[in-house]
Amino acid sequence: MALCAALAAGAISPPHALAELARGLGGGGGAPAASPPSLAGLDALVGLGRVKALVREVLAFAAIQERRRAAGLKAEPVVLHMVFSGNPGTGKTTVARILGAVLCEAGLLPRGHVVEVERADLVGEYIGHTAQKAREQVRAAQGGILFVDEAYSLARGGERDFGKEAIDTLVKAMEDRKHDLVIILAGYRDEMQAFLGVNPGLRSRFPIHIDFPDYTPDELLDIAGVMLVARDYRLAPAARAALAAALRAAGRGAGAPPGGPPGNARMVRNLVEAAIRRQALRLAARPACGREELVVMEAADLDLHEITAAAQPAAGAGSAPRREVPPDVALALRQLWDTATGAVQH
Amino acid sequence: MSGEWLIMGGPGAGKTTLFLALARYLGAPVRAATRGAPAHARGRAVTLVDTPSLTDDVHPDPAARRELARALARLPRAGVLHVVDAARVGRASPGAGLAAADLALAQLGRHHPRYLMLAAKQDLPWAALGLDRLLSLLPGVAVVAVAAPLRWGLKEVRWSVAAAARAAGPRRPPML
Repeated sequence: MALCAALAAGAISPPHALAELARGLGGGGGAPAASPPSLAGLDALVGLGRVKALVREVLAFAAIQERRRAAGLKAEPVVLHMVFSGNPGTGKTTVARILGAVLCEAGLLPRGHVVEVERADLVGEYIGHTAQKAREQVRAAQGGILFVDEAYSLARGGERDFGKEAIDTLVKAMEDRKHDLVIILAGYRDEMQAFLGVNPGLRSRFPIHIDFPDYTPDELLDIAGVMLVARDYRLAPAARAALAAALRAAGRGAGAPPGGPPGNARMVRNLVEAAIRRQALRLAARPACGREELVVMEAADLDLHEITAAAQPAAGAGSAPRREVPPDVALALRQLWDTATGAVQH
Repeated sequence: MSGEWLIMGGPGAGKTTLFLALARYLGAPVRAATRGAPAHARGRAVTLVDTPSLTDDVHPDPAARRELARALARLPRAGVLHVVDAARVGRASPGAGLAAADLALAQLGRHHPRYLMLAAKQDLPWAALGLDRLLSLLPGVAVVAVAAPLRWGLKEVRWSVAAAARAAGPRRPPML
């Protein structure tokens, strides 16, 4: 056939010939992918080594259970509901979005889209409203992932509170739609632990727990570099050194973790966007600039005060590091903490 | 096993070693390659066919290109045993991925009802890691771990191939 003639003549390479044959067999889509595109997307993220390893473990576990089923052996149930714990800006939402595609490619979810909700999307103002809202979100997420951010805020407690109704609706959905819904609860580490502890049944329903540690200063530097390159910018060596020094100082000076420098990757993104604006200001003052100048980010363009502010020791020894927490959630957390520490004997 | 199965893979993957080991395991006498035909082993229900290496680039020797073209011409009708050197995959740096020819063949395998990947050289260090990487790089592809010198995995290859032959039809090969 023509394809083989082309191969014999040296007109096409073996991979090309194979791709054409695949198309002929009904392969449809384009050039062979470097790896399943979504897993490659996950691997391309800076840091998150443990997250990447855990995702592969989960995929391998599911694949082996499928093989066991095919071989007629007893197989473990594959429960994919997860808890993502970590400070803001550590990649939880980003990973959840990629995970949807990864699970879809692995055949574990039919659609693999991600519906992101927080308390306000699940909890209503009157009896029955919550169940309705929660069910709507569950329905929207069917076939994919329901990502519940700041999930601990559902356990606020109190008389007129419908958080518990939301939790019950979610739990029922997990039972009814075992094979086409994955629920991910996300939030700060300590708050998620407290939340899972308050309702003992919850911990067993969310068997996969992925922790998102704060990025190291070197990882934050890489993230800044990646964000800039993606927008066709580049850090000048002096700028890179200044940023690296500021990030390292912030990493040391924020006192003992778990807080760490606030913001993390989000802080870096804000920095990059601000730098782009400052560079524009600097260059606009000149009558003309070449391609090279448009691309290079100088040290003067970096506004490092936010990072160096984080290098100051936290005010008040022993208090939790300051984070951006919406005021009503802060109140709810206080109530939750009082309930949990008051009621439970450790 | 039934019909004709091509043993394919990149240079140094271990195709010929596996071809000989499988032929011996199945009790199929081996016929050496001649100018017109590749080395093959005709068994009771199966014929194994050794093929030239799948290179990523165009081969400079026209005779080698013709041989490979003849092998690929058999593809649509024959089954594919795709041999990958798992030890090399394991030794490679984390982002390395697979050779283009291996990826292209694995991609073709998703749509081919009789395709099986053999993660070879399991007796060597790094091969277990290589197997793990193959499984995560190619979700849904049927992979059997083998080590020809120790005859590991040959029984599984026979079973998997028999199952693939029975199950020909679904878009994805069964996960075995």
